[in-house]
Amino acid sequence: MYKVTSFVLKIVSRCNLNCSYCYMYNLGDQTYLKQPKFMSLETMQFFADRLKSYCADSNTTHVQIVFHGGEPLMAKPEYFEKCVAIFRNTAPEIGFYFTVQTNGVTLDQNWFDLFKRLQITIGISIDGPEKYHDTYRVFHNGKGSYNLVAEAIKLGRKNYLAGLLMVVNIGIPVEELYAEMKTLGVNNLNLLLPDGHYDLPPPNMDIGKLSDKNYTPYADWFIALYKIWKQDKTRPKIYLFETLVKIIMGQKEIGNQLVGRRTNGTLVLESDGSIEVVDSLRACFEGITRNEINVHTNQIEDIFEDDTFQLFYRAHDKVAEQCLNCPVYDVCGGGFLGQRYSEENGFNNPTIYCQDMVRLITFIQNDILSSLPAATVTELDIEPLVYEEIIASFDEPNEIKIDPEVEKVLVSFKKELQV
Amino acid sequence: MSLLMAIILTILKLLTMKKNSKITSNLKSKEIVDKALKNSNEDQLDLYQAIFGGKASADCPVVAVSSNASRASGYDKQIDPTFLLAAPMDPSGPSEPASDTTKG
Repeated sequence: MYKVTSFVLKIVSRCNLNCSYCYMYNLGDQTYLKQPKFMSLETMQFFADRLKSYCADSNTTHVQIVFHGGEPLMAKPEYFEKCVAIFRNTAPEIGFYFTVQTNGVTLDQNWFDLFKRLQITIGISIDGPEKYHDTYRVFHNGKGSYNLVAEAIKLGRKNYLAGLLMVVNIGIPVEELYAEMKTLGVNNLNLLLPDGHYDLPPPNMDIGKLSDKNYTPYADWFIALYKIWKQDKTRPKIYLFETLVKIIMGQKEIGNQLVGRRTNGTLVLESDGSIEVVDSLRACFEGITRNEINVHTNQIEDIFEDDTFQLFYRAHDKVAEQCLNCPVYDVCGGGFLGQRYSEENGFNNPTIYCQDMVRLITFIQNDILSSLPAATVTELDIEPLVYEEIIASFDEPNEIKIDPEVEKVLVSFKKELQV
Repeated sequence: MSLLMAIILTILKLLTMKKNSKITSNLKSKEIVDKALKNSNEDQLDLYQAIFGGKASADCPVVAVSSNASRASGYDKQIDPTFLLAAPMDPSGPSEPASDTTKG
């Protein structure tokens, strides 16, 4: 039985910004053009009914509802009131954790008051200091959005702001970024790797240099940030780093779509009621998340038969053979599924950030060991991982062979086999 | 392949295989780390003490402590933390238990 407990609701399919890297609008997929601009309350009610049924059948007591877009704050305040009422009235037995992910440009005190009253936590997306943020996160007329976002963040410090989400831009000097976070008074920050794969390399990654075993531009950036963060006694929480530390320290059952070995229990509800796999996979190829399943006519469980969902759900188990033989596999989990894609091999690749992840994980593991008292390390009988040894081991014959059935699934997404 | 190269590769493989990405993999090693986190005043451990709740009681295993842990405990800890961003709760927990296949 698949267990899904996070639902991302595309309540608005359009956005008041036009970020250059956005998977919704500027990377490989135009699906949004076929969606209604707003999810209707009728669709929301259908979903709540299906959710109630699914939770009862799967013995699920709590779920996360993420109001997402597009830009969710393009909906009216009354819309959020009605949505929350629909969920709480339809399924009072379910514990709901509501959150909204916004670009922050229209987030004012009225919105904060509303979300506080409705118990909806708020996350704001930002791209760093003004000159970097305004390079990417621009309005449709090309004007930057930084000032409005910074104002919302400052307002959020005394309101209901949960934290910031930032897609990593390694073009930003880490000192500059960290100083910005401190100036804004950020307490919680999550970092995401940019979407990208072997046929669409992430920004600032030179695909021609991937054969260079020392080429780890993202890890180099992360490590520099980690060092500053570690030295700061009033540091914010940085979710990615803390997750990696916890996994490396041996904490089990932790991780997300990017790292760790957990299953990916997340679904997306499109504005028209379609139930799909997470939309960031759309950076792979047009229509990868598309199916015929809709809450108006289907149960939530119907997506469990979908090939893309099945692969995504167990993406950290269904990995390339190199990953199965890698000493840091249990930490990185093979990486985010979409970042493993190539037209040639489908998903039968390590993540395009493979070397970066090995470098970062070995660094953190080494740092933990060097921070612990020497007697403790001796007692643990753990040796530091060596990046160069792990990378060299990728050229050796693999001891663990990939399950042919898993391999078949992974390569079934390669271009020549796409239906 | 020359004999020398084969020997080097074998040694390299053995070196890699005996290493583990995870620092604690059983209750005993968790207790060892807990003890170090609890008792050490080393400045360089500050970060890890903060992540794991600082100098917790000895019977507290290596687990994360968040500022809103009580609220998190109300959930079945199966939510996707990707979308929690940095929400003030500890989103740890599996959708399903994950197997540990680290080479040791």
